[in-house]
Amino acid sequence: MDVFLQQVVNGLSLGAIYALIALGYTMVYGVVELINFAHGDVYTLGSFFSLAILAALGVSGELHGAALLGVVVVTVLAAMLLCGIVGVLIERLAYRRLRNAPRLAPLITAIGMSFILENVMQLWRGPSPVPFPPVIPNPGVTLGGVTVTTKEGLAIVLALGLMVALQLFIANSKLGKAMRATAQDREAAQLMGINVNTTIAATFLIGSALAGAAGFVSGVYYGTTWFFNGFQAGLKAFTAAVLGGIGNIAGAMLGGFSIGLIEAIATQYIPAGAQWSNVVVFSVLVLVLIFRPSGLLGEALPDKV
Amino acid sequence: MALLELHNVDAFYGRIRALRDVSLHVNEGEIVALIGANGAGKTTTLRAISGLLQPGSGSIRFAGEDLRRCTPDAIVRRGIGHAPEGRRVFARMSVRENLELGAYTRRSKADSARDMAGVLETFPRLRERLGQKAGTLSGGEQQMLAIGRALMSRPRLLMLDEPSLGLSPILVQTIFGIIGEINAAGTTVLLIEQNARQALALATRGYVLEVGRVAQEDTASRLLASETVRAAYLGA
Repeated sequence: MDVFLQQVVNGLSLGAIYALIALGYTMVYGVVELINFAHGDVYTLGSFFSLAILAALGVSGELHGAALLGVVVVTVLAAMLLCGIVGVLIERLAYRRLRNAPRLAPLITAIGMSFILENVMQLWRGPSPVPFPPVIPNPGVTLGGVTVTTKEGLAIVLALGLMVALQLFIANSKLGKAMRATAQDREAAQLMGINVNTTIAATFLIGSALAGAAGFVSGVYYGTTWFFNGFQAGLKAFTAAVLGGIGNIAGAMLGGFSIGLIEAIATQYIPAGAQWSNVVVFSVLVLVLIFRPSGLLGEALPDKV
Repeated sequence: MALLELHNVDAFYGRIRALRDVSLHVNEGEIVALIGANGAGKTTTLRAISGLLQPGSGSIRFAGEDLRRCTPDAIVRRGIGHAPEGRRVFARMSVRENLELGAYTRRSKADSARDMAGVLETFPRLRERLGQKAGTLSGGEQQMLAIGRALMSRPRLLMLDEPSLGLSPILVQTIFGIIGEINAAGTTVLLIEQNARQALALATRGYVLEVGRVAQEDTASRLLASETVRAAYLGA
């Protein structure tokens, strides 16, 4: 039982990262019906930005108390801002002019964007994994045989906090309403006086910022990062978004945590599970696409055109 | 000077020419009806005015300003409200949120709140349904919401695309009554209707569109009396 609960904790912290990335996929899909394949690489970029910010702050080892909190807040916010800007630039430079093009064109452009980001990161930080400074002290809390390390706690708390903030923003703010309106009916949104270019840019900003936060979390969680990290993490987060129902924000969160749990539990209980966990995760994607293509929370919507 | 003036407007869907040399104007305070068969270019005309469709050539001026390079949201800010064909309410948002989005361009929350109270007075049915998702409303209620939402931007010109479509005869009477009241309260109206008799009965002037061009233009009463209009659009 303890082993199982321990894997639940592992799964939730892993899932927190997937959920943060999945939100960006699902929000962008919601407003422009594009699977932004470069999104996973924005997440990796978030981990490299975090590294650069930590270096700029002169942090190389463990921190405690107020110093730790301050460094985490500054690094996360800065990584979010930088990734958000990158996301907006990607939309502006690569996707906007293809908005009314056949859907294959922006999709292929997104894959191209992904290659560009990967290569830029490889040039910047080299082809090998780069170690992350061990900022977060290791010991955590042990409750009845289950240990939650500080890193895991950070991943879960940060992800949940950002998700609550996102939900409140989407539900109540003027821009959040404009984003939902644009997602439902772009032309009708324009007739309300909504500038859809601004709204779409804001969607990329927020989605990419969340990926930036995930990049920081994964860096401290795994203690390392790599220019090609975003490929697999991106695919898993995409699976999470599809599992939850692509375009559905609550679905992306649910899907992210589900995929994390599935992966952690498969790793534990399937013989040689670490090698098989990816097979399990992507089998979930295949099964969802076959049996419930609209996802757990998605509504079966008629195609717009 | 006319509030809205279209001069020789051409518009295309791909290579299909949907409008040819359409010229029309709407004076401040008028109700102008656009009538014509399906595919005559009525909806296309409104879409060109709203900036949803870039006209190929010709000029569109509103309150003396050229609208041709304006984006749709800028056109709303200049004072044109458009309740589009098919209502297009935000089905997964509440009635209240739909109305709030109608006031998106407004700065003052107090003004929007007062306008919302006014809209709810005009359409008491919407008040009962404020918290409900717009997609759960009946067709008539959705039409009321679409008109109410367009009014929330406090437009100088309100464009209505087939407000009576799919409504019961009694509800059609109600909607037309409300359009008259909106106009009497100072909003200029450009109205598209299949129901030509009712539209012309309400309107000051009218235009008859045929295959993308203006075939006839006159006061509403003269169009109602015209032999060709009666034969083609009034079923008499």
